[in-house]
Amino acid sequence: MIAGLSCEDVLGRLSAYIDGELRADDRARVEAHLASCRACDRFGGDLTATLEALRDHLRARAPVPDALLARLRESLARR
Amino acid sequence: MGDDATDPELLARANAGDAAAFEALVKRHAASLLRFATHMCGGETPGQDAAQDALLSAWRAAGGFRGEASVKTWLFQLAANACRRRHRRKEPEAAEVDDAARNVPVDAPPPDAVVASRELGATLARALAALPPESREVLFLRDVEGLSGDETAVALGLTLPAMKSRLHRARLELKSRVEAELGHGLREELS
Repeated sequence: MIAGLSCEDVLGRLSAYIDGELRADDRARVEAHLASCRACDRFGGDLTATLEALRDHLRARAPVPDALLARLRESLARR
Repeated sequence: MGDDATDPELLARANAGDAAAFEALVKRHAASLLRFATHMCGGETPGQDAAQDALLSAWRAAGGFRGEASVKTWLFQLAANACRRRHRRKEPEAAEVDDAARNVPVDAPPPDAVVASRELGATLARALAALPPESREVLFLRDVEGLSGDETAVALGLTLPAMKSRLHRARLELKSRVEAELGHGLREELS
């Protein structure tokens, strides 16, 4: 138990922590735990890095194929 | 016409039969919807089909848009439904690898930053593709498309607590799959 939280408690709060949804006092306890618990700090850092990489790599904006727009126009015209 | 109009304005015009207004709306959002559908349906071709289904649904149902969520959220809701219908039709689903991931060259040139980045992108796409559809959709909308928690919940027809619970599980599962493939955490990979 560090800062009143077990590692399991911290794990359960990680998403809310990353999304900035924790109340200030809860956030402070999570941060105090992370500052003293190497395992949780590493776990949280890896989770954050994974989500950032997911966004960076998959957010690439591919052009919309002309064929898709053409098919759509055809379908609209049939209405 | 169209560029300065808001999404609800374009949708209202579409509802009155203005195909040009609808096309302006499509051009604004099609790339995001297509990206989502491609990753949800496991490939570019089924992704395009699902995106088209969603957009046709939007055209037909334009009059039913109530403005309780943004037009963008509503379009993602239609896209998620189109992808779910496709998943149901082809059950049982194998863990498919997205075409974009599959098409990464195996015999890549000597390692450099670009190749490493491409390989990491393929690893992430494979890990995402291996997740169950309900994990993939929540991760994609929240963490790739950047929808808010409320928007993601509305788009997926979930309560906010249910969405948060599903998102948390999905994030942990993605991390686990990525690390299983890499053999270590991503922070180490990037350092």
